[in-house]
Amino acid sequence: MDTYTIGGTVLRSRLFLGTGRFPNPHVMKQAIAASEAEVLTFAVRRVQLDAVDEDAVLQHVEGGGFQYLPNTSGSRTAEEAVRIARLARAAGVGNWIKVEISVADETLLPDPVETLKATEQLAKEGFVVLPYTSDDPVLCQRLEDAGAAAVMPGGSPIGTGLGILNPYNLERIVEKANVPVIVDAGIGSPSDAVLALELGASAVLVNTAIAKAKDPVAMARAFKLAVEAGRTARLAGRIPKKPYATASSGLEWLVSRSMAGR
Amino acid sequence: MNIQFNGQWMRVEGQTVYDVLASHGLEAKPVVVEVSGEILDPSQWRTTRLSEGMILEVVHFVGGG
Repeated sequence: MDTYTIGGTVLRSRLFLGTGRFPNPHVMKQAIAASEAEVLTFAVRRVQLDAVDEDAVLQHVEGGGFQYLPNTSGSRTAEEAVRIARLARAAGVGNWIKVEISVADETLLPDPVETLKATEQLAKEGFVVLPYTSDDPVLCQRLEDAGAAAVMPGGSPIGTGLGILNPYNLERIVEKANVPVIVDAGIGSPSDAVLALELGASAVLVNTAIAKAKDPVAMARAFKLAVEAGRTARLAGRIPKKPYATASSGLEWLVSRSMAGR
Repeated sequence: MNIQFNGQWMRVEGQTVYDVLASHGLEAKPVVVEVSGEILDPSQWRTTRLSEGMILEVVHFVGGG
């Protein structure tokens, strides 16, 4: 069986699913089932005191045997991310944490320095740390050295659906990494997921592209098929790219060619 | 007694953190409670007494990517 391991947990599905922005919990649950995802992501927020159940998500997915991956979204420094991670762990649903520290509001791009600091600290505290990072091969290496259990380079900014803007960098990250590489953020369609897996990523994390599709459940299934296709192609080994044509059937015995002078 | 609860100053009745949670229907919810920067284990909700100006944060998981 083709599996990979993060923090001692063996995973089979190549799709991580985010739980934000779905039209309603019912559609979300159906999409989760169709995606066959094993890892679900969440955010940590204050309870709204005038509507305490309003956006609580755990009640909709409990008992499904999922690996939970809370994120530290909303944090702007390593210190804030560490605080959110500790709160998330105290909820008693595991010790995985996606470090997500953004300061640039328009792009939500991660702060590399704070992300590295938080990763180091949380790994020391025994968390299974999956940092969301820019697609920088050197930084991904540094995060791994700091104790990251996987690295999560963004394909493009969160929610943009722009896909993988720098496939070259992603290939370099995969080449060097000794931990799984999960392409996070910016995945817009199943074709982006196929590319990520073809380039050697272990998985992709998708949220908006599924949750905001016209039919989120059908799109979840499309992504499930895409990661299977991409992973299968990676293992099958694609042909090298070449600048000039090679005929598929050879040019030796063309029907129309005169045999005279042969 | 006045405390700061999830960023809002409010007047609360009761003696303990548990009382405040119960008055908001939160005592049996999957929430995490932090008092003045320290995370409380649920076993401490009933034993942690309210104090004037206490900063109480109650968080939970919401949808996110």
